[in-house]
Amino acid sequence: MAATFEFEEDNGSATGSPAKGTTRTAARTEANWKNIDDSTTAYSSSPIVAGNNSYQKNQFGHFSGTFNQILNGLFAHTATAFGTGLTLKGVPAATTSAGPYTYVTPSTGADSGLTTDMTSAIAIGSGVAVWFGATGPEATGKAATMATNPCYTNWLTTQLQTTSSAAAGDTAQVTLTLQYDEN
Amino acid sequence: MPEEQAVNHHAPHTGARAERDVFCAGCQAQTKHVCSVDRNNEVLCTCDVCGRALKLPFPEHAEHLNSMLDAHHQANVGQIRTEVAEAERAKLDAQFLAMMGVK
Repeated sequence: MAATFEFEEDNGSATGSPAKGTTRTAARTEANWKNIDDSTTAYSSSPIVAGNNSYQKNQFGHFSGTFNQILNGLFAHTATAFGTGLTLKGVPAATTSAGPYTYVTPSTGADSGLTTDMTSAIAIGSGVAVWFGATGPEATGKAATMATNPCYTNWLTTQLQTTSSAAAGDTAQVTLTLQYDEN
Repeated sequence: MPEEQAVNHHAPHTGARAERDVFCAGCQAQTKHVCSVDRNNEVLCTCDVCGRALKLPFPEHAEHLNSMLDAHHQANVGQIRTEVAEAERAKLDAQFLAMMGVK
């Protein structure tokens, strides 16, 4: 038997303490950056104007099923280069039980909490450490190894920031990888 | 290896510009950056070597700017690009095969 995994996403105003989004959507299969904060609108309907930034994409991992432990989490952009004028920012490495990032009401302003520059494809071993919490990505008490079932990664929030030099049209389709071990 | 060459991201920006050494995640080194305030009132710094852009919210004061740049540096030092990792693996593979007498 093995753990069951899915990506999920929060949208909407920050609510609660610790903060999370107003809306939580399960089973996300894409992470398109766009000029709207939701999980339903096609990116082609809300494109980012060159020189502006996307809304933050507040996704995270959800583990259920059968497992003893989830551990050794890493998150990185691992394949395919972005074009000119595109910078992808992501969460910093997890180092404390509070987690590396606090949910904020999404906006198109450059998010100073997203300090990792994920623009280049890097080896997953160079990715940021991901910790796990028992009740949600916003949960306190996160740890590098989690035995609680279900459990969640910390926020895997990203934001695509552009300059006026960004080309029109779709960006390249890049790969963001969440790697973890399970016991 | 620089991933962008000779692109002036600041070309349409008017107003104040300044040069400053900033850690570039692409170059993995402190490099000269051109910094300005863009049309969204955000600070935009672009690497003179590779063209990588870094955006920051407009700082409250100089110390705030410095702390954001420091946080950026700490968060991004040590990244190993996939092509560098692959080249290292290829080198180790070749060395191993040589040791094993495989040509």
